[in-house]
Amino acid sequence: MNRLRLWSSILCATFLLAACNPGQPVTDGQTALNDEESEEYKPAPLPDIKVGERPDPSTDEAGLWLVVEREENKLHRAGNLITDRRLNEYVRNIVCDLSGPYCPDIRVYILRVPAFNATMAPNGMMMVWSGLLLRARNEAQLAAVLGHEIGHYLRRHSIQRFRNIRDTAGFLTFFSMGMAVGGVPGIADIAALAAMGSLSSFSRDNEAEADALGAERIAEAGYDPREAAAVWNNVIEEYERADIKREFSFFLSSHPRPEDREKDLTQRAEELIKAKGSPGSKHVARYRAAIAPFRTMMLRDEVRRRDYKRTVGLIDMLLEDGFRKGELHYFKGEVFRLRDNQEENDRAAALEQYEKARNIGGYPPRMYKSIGLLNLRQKNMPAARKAFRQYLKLTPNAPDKGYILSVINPSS
Amino acid sequence: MKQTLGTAFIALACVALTSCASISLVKPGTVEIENTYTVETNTAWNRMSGQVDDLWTLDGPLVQAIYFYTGIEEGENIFQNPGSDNGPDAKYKNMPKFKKGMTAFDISEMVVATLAQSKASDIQVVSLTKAEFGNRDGFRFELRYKDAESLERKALVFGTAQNDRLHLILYQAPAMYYFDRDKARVEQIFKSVRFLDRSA
Repeated sequence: MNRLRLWSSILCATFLLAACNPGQPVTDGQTALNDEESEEYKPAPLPDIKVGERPDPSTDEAGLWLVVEREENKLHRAGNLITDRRLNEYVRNIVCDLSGPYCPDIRVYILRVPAFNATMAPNGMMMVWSGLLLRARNEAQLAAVLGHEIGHYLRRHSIQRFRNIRDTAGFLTFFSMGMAVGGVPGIADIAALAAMGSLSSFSRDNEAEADALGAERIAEAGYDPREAAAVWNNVIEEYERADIKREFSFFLSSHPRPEDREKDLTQRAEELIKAKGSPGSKHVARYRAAIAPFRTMMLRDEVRRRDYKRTVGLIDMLLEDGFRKGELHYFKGEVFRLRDNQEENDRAAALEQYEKARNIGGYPPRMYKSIGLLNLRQKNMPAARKAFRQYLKLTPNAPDKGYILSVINPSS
Repeated sequence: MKQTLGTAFIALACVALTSCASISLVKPGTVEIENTYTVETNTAWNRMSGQVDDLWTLDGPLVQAIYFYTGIEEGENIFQNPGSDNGPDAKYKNMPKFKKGMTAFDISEMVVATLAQSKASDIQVVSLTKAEFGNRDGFRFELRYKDAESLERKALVFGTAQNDRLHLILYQAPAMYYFDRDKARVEQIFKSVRFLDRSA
């Protein structure tokens, strides 16, 4: 890779990483930029970005924009860019509602990356990961995250952060961490991005400011501002269910503590509701309709992460939410089938989930193939044949038909 | 570190290629692969080896390549890299692992999930059939996917998991022009696999 390109990627990746990534554990081998470092140097507060504003070409901010713009050009041809017009319009309309006159300055890119995140670059390039769409339970929750990101943009937190880090000893650490990352993220990058997120995250002040701005904007746009706290609640719960305890060191190092954040957001929401005289809407049905065509794909991507415990926890939470439960049971069964941990009795657990899916409906035909595979593994050939036949009946042009037929009729 | 499938994996490959790979010419004839089996090729290939484990290409690894993964054991991923919590190897940590008794279906899912973790998207298995690998029972499957830069690619995977060790040969190239152009000569390599007596 061209050296300049690599460095550009690093610099860019640095600023693509906004606040929402809950991150990976900051282990002993890493040095997070702690509060002492970030508090020591505080650049003068910057005025909010103006509508249509571009930085003066002679400034460091303009340099930062150039690097980010180069990355943005690459985004247009990213293989994991979701280009579906309706989904893009849906997210874009929310962004426009929240950003008002800044709407033309913000460009939204929805990427197929199965992790909870949205990022905002200083030039108005916003990335929304599909993992966020899978995890948000309603439109107000999605809007809360988008509003938070817009807050970073308006307050120019990226350039503040850049100047802060440039002038502290953390810079080299920052860049050495960045060596693992660059450009458009994929699944493989999540760990590295998250680890770097712990270094490149905004300061607590910036986060709190973006939270406050986000909450105000969603309330103004008619959403229930309490959903902003609910988003963080969900993130915390997902980590807790997966027993990922140390991840919170990330929050503690440079973010408001999750409990504080939730408390602040809840308090702010109550104030906003009181001032407005109504709680606002969550828009559950509208949200579900918008993500419905992509939900299967998003769940499949999540399962392919092979982060089994975490995915089971997430699916359990989504089951409590109750949208398309049959499909959720199918994917929970898939996690057990793929993990195939005999001590955990995964094969029986998978079959149990498939059975629940069958009772509810809404599962894909390939569930029968999974049932066949499980029975094949258990050497229960009659049950395997029955399930495979059902799969071929429902999917007559299955790509693996040849192989399946040879399993059903080994002599032929 | 073993190397990866297609430009989906190229992002990982670039650094390794520049620093560690040595390039040699594979002449037409019999070629030994990792002390495990031989293949016959009737055309010459460029072979990149070193940290990159036996990658063969005609026009360069960013265009097309054949990858040989040999002797993958229980609990190992395709790259035989256990991964780590941090650093460049973190990406290998949750990659799917081979287990004894896996069927061809399981292995196709393993390869698809590996690709999905390597910046490929829209991955589809377009065929899966039984096939001999050397003198062992094996399988072959074909995939279609988009690489990190949205280029449509096809991959042909050929392998066996007999004797509790997984051997895979993967060929990938852009769907347009290259894949079909070289498919016949790659098929000929696939069919020519002969396990060495000393291999497990």
